[in-house]
Amino acid sequence: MTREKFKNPPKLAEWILSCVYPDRGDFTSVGDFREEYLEVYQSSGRLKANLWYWMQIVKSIPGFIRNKSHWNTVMIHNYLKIALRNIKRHKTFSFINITGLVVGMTCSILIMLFIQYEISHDRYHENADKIYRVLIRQPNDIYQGIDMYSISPPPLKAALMNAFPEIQNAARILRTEGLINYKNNRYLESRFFTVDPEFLKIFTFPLTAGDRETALNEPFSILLTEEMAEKYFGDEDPMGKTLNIDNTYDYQITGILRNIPGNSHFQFDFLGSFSSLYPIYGDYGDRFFEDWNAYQVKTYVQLHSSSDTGEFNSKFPVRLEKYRGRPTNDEIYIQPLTNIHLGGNVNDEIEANSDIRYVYFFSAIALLIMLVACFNYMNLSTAGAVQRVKEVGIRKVVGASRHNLVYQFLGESLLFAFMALFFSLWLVKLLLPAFSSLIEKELSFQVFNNIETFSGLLGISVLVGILSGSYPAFFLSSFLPVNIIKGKLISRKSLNKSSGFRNTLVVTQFAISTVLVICTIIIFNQLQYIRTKELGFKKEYIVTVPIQDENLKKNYGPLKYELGQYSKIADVTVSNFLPFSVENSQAVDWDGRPEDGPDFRYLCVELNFLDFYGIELAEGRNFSNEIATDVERAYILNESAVRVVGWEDPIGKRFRCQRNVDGQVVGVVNNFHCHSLHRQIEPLVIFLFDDSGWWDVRYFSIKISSEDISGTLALMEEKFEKFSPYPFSYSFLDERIDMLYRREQKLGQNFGYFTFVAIFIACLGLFGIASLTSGQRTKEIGIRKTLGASVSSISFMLTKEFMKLTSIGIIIAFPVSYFAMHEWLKNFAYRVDIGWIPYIGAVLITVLLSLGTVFFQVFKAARANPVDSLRYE
Amino acid sequence: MKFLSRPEELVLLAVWRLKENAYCVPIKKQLVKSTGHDWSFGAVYDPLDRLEKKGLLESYLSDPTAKRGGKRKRIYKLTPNGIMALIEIKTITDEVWDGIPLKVLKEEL
Repeated sequence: MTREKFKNPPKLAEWILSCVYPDRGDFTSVGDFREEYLEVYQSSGRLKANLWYWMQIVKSIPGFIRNKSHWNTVMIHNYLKIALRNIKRHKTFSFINITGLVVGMTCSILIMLFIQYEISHDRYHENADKIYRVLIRQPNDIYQGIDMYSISPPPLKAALMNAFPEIQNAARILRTEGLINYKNNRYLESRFFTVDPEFLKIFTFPLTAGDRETALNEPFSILLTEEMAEKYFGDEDPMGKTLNIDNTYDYQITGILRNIPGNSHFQFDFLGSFSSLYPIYGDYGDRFFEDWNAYQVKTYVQLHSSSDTGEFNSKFPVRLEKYRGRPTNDEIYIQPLTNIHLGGNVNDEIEANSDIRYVYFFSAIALLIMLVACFNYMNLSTAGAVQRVKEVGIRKVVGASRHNLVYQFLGESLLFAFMALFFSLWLVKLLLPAFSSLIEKELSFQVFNNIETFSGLLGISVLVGILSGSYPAFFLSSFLPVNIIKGKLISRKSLNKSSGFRNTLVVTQFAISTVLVICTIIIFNQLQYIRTKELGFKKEYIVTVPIQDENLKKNYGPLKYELGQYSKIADVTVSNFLPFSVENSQAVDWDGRPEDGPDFRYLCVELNFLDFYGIELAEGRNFSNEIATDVERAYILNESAVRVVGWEDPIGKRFRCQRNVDGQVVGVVNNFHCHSLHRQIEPLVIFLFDDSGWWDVRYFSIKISSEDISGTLALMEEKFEKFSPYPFSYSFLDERIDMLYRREQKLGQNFGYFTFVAIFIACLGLFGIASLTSGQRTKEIGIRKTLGASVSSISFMLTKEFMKLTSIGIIIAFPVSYFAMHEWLKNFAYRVDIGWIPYIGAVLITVLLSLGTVFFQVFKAARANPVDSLRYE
Repeated sequence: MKFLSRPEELVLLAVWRLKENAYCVPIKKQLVKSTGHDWSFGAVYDPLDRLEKKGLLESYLSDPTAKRGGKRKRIYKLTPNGIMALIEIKTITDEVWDGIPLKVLKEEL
């Protein structure tokens, strides 16, 4: 017996054989082969026999493939023909289906491009995975709610290089402004980096001219981008030319950089050599490079090999005092380059970063919109199934198996998906410029150059095709030919099941749309609230001018006098911060201050500041020029400060800040919003600057009349440029305040658009369903009408069913949107109550839209003459 | 009646010769023996199927045997039409070959 067993042919080969002969029932051929195998075995041994058996299979492959593919093409050809015929015959549905998918896909592709762009930040550097940014955590100095800083002291670079042998290169970046001049082509440039020579080794920004190894070695070497070369030199070749900076230093151009791509977490136009700082700082030069207090440079490090990253990561955070020698609480952290852009903001970012949460958020929207579009397709194809029952029956009778039919219908939905992809690619091309300006990023879209995008798009359409085709395919293929022939068409049970499924889809669609509508309304409410909220100071017709130049501070007296001569200028004042964004804080002291009492924000202002901004006093008095001691000893607090201190009657109390002079509280101002509305109003102290306080002054505020603004601005430009070599730059206070909420405004706008799209698709689907079902019920309607039903009662009956679905969707949407928006509003310390209005608004919008959508179909069906529908019975 | 192809003719004849034992493996063996060429199973299945469709052969399944791994044999049998076909082939062949001795052909080489 055991000998017999060995004579069996290889199991695998036999299995393959039995697979390709499925029609030979009990596989007599497999038996034939086995017998022959036995004979070969007996005559020539096992090896030969096995070989023979396998050869038989190999030889049969070409024929097998030819046979299979021939029949498959025949069937695909047939499926395609039927699909195209169906598209042609049911134009409305095909149109609705494709439109829904196109709109959904277009949105998703746009969002996908945005996400791809966000993720691509900084990844194009050769060493991207080995580059880290050094962060310093200063637990004692929380600024804008964050204690992480991207700036570090200059000597840290050498200290890190010594302490961590895995670091290959390290570079420091000092970001400054510079007044750049070439042959009277004079601009104030704010994107001026002074960097170590290693900068060009760590970051592989390409050079179009110059040698990246040596370009930054010499003092007063400078590189500039192509854009800047064009701006200053036009057609001239800038290499080797000299740029004058701040009217003092001559830099020689040693290289041209290709323009910095938009997806970089820092943007710059000029790279000056770090060694220039020695001569520029003069006496301070040597000290600056050793100054552990000069938190001014950004430090980036690059490791030797990417295999070190895990270990390197685990060594941080490190306490700064290890290197500094003096005790400090500061800690050194590192952040991988590729995490910077999506890691949210730390303090002193060069460009505002994005947040991974926004990427998730938009992915979710893309997914929802895509789902709504897919549901549409499922819904319409399932509802339209009745029209294809006969086709399915015939196919089954002729011998199609269920999986043939599933393939057919899946193929059909794939066809739709690919048609939709084709249209949406075209639409994306068309919309991309508008979308780019909407989100303020330069997106580019090349389908065929980028294999990832290409396969991503294919993937999406296949997924959409399969997702939207799956249910119709299984539903349609489940019909029993017996029932169809009996005239029952579809069994009652499966019909109910399918309409239940369809209803669920409609409910989900409307739930999603309503959630989006409610969210949009709440976001817009909050934005409206922000815009109109009383900030506690005046913000209209105030021009702010940042002070870049010491000359302006020196000549403030004459400048203010000359400006004051002009009737359209009402008043001028200076301060260290503008009242909407007071950012620095100081240690303060009062009688009975606990050890760990908080620092206070401070405003260092001119005498007329409170009047200028119309900030009202709650008690006490304003600063006065008649009281000589006010300059050094008078303090005005805000109500939050008084609450923190806990005084019942603050006037006259001893108070002191870093100025080392004891003073008194002379007044208390009403709380005004000295930060964005994201944050609570923090304790604030206001005092006058003395002559030594001038270094802290950063802004002019100029109140102008509402008439002839451009004339006033021209006059101001003339006056300012008289005292300063810098070009005059200004902004309006209310615009600057709006900038604080830019991100939210963009979010609101984008949300609005995508909501519109989602609703549009959902209504499209509802329209399709309404016309289908009312079409199927023409006979019922006809009979009802002959029995005396009125147009209105029939309309009501039909509408009622759709409204039921919409209402359930809306009800589901309520809690979901409430929780989502509750979370979002937590970003704001000052926010609207969600209240009932957004919900009522959303209900109105959704109900009216869906009513409007179904109305025509329903009305048409109800108006139809029963004679037409019953004539053939 | 239509002419049969050469392989069909050979297979039909082999089935007649093998009588009760006419299933694929012996048919193949018989063909190899009488033609001197190697025949693959496919080359045998195809004519068998075609002959069966033309109504010259009929087939039935035998009981499974251990030797074949528990698979049945499909045993073929000539139908009356099959026998008629053989008779016709034999007649025509003899007719056309009449008076042509092999020796004469070989001499012309």
